[in-house]
Amino acid sequence: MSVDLAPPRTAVFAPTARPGRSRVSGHHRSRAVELTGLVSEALSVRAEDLMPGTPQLEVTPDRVATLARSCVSEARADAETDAARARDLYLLALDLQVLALDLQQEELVLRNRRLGECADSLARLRGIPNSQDLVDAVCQELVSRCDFGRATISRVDQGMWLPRKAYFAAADASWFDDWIDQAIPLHGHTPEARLLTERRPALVLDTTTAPVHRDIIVESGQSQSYVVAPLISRGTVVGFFHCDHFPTQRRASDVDRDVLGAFAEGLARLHERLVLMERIDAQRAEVGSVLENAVRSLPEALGAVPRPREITPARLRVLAELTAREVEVLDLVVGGATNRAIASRLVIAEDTVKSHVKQILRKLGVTNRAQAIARAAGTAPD
Amino acid sequence: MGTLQLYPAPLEVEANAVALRREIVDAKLRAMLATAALPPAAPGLDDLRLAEPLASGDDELGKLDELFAATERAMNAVTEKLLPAPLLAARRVNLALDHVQAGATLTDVMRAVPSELCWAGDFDRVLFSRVEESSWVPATWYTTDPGSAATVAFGQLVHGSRFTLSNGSIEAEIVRRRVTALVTDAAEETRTFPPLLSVAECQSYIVAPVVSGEAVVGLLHADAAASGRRLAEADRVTLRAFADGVGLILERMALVEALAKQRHLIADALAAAERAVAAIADAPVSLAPRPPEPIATSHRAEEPLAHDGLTAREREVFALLVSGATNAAIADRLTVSETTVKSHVKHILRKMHVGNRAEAIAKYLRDGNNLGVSR
Repeated sequence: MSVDLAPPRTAVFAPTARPGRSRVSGHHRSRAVELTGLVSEALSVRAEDLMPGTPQLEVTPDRVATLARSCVSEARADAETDAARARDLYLLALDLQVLALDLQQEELVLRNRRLGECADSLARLRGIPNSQDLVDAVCQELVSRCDFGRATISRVDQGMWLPRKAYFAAADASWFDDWIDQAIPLHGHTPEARLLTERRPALVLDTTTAPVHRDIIVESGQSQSYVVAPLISRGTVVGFFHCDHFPTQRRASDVDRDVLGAFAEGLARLHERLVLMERIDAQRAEVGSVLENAVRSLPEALGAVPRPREITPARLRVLAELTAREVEVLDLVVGGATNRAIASRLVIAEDTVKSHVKQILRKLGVTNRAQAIARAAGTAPD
Repeated sequence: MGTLQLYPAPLEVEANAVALRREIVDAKLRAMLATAALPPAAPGLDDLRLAEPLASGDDELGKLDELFAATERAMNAVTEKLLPAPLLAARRVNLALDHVQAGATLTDVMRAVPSELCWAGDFDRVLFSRVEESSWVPATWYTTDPGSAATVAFGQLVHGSRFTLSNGSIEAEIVRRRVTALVTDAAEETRTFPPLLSVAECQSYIVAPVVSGEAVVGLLHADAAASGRRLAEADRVTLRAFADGVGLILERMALVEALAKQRHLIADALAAAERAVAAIADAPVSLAPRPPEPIATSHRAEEPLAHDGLTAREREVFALLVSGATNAAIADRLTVSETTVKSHVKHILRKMHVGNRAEAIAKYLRDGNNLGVSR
C-alpha cells in the first residue's frame, strides 16, 4: 500500500491505555529471558544476577547491550586458550546485540506513535467549545491517549501554584480535591519554580533526591518520578501539567517530558483561541450592559430637573373661561372632592362652593360634575 | 512475524555464522534508518552503515570482534541520533509555529509557513495552497534547492495555477476526510496529480489539510526530493502537527481581528451616540412643525391589560363614565336598562375602591391609562 491515511479525527473516543502494561512486546521479552539463560549458562552466573528483577523490570536496549559486553570480555580473555568457547560467546553477544537493535527499533516506533497520539488528542480537544470545559477534559485525554498514569493541570497566579484538575487512570484521586485551588508558593529550586523562568518542560527522575514540593508531590501524591510542562500564553507561564506513571513502578523519561512539552504547547494554542472567542462575546455583553445601565440611571443621576406643570389643550380652554377661584374649585372637583371637602379646604362656605360649581358647569356647558371632570381632563369627546 | 526467522538458533556451528549475523545487523540498521527518515547527509550517521570487514578471511574471531564493535558503535549512534529525532522534530514544529504566529498579517503568515515547515521537518520543498470551493490554488512555496531545473519547472507549473479537486484525487480525499496522507510510491499511485508529479520529480510526498473554523482552508504539500530522502511515518506525524498548528494560528488571527474590529465598531457607535447627544443639546431653537404622529401599531391592542378586575362590559361602561356620560346616556348608548348601568357602576366603584364617579374619574386620571380604557 503506497498511500497511508491516518485515522479520521472523528475516531471513537475510547481509552486504550492500560496502565502497567509492558512497553516491550512479549516476543522480545521472551527472547531476552531465553538469551539471559544462555549467558548465565555460558558464564556460570545466576540469571538473577545478570538481569536483576527480570522479567518484572523493563527489558531495555542498555541492559541487553551490557550482557553482550560481558560475553565479549569473557570471549576476548578466552581467545588464545579456548577458541571454540570464545566463538560461542561472540555469537551469543551478537544475538544479544540484534535483540538490542530490535528493542531500539521498537522504541523509535513507539516515540513516533506517542507523538502521533499527542497530535490526535489535540485535534479531538479542538472541538471543545469553551475554555473551562477544555481545562476539565484535558487531563483525561492525557492519560487515555498519551500513555501516562496520572495527569494534573494547575494554574499559576502571581508566583503561586494552584492545582486545578486531575485525572488518574487507576488510582484514588480523592486526595487531590484537598489541594484544589490551594496556593502553593513557588520558590527555591523546585522544578515548578524554575519552570517560571526557564519555560521548558522538566523531568524529575527521583523525587527522593531532587528538590521537590514534598508535601504535594511525595506525601500526598506519592510520585517517585514525574514530568512537568509549562502552559505558556503570550510569553507568560499561566499553568502547569504534571504527569507520571503511578501506580506502576515505571519511571518518567525524557520521552515523557518531550511528549508532554509538545502537548502543552499545542494545548496553549487551543486555549488561547477559546479565550479570544470568549472575549468577543464578553465585550459585546459588556457594552450592552454598560449602555443599558447608563440610560437607566440617568434620571436618578440628574436629580430633579425643573419642569413646568403639564397643561393640556383642554385645560387651556378651561382656564381661559374660568376665574382663578373657579379653577381652584375645579381642580379639587377633578381630584374627587365633595362640596364639603372643598369648602373646608378653601375655608369658604359650602354654599359658596355650590355657587362656584354652578358657574363652572355653566361656563363649561355641562350638566354634572362627572362631565365637568371629563371636560377638564380632556377625556370627554369634544 | 518477519523478525522471528532472522534469529538463528544460538551457538550453532555453521560456517557462515558471522556473515549471517552481519546481514541481520545490516538489515536492522537499514530498517531503523528508514523509520527515522533522517536526511542522508545528517551528521553522525556513518556508524549506522557497516563497513567492509578488515580482518582476513580465515580470522573468524577477528571478524566477530570487529562486527561486535561495529554494532556497539551503531547502537550508540541510534541512541544519540535516531532515537531523539522524533522528539527534536516535535520541538522544532512548535518553534516553527511560534515563528509563523509572530507574523503580523495574513500575508506574513502565508509566506512564513513553507520555509518554517522545511526547517522543522527537514523537507526540501513545501507548497502552501488555498482551498477555494472545488479547487486548490497554490499560494506560497519554498525550496532548499532554488537553482535547479526542477525548481524552475515546478515554479512555472504552480504559478498562477488553479487545480480542480477532482473526484478520486488524493487532494480531494484529504479535503473530504481531513486526514494527512503519506504517498510513499508516487509513481505507482493512481490517485496522484500527474502534471505536478512529473515536474516535482519526487518519489514520496505528504499532503495535509489546514482546517480553520469549520472548513478546510488550505493544503500543505511537502517532499524531500532534492536530498533523495524517502519520507516515512515520522514525517507524516510532523506535517500533521504543523498543519494543525497553522489552522489554529489562522483561527487565532481571525479572532484577534474580529476582537479589534468589534472594539472599533463599539467605539464608533459610542462616538456616534456622543455626537447625536451633542447635536440635540446644541441645536438652535426654532419653531419646528409638529412631527407626524407615529402610526399606531396593531400590537398595542394585543398588549395584556392591567389586572384591574373589570369585566369586558364594565370596561365599556367605565369608558363612557370617564367621558362624563350620565347613567341614562350610558344605558342609551349600550342599549341596556338604566338599572343595569347603575349595577355596573356600583361594581366598578367597589372594584376601584372609590365612593363616587367623580372620584373614579380622578383616580383614573392619577393612575394613568391602566384600566384598559384609552384616553
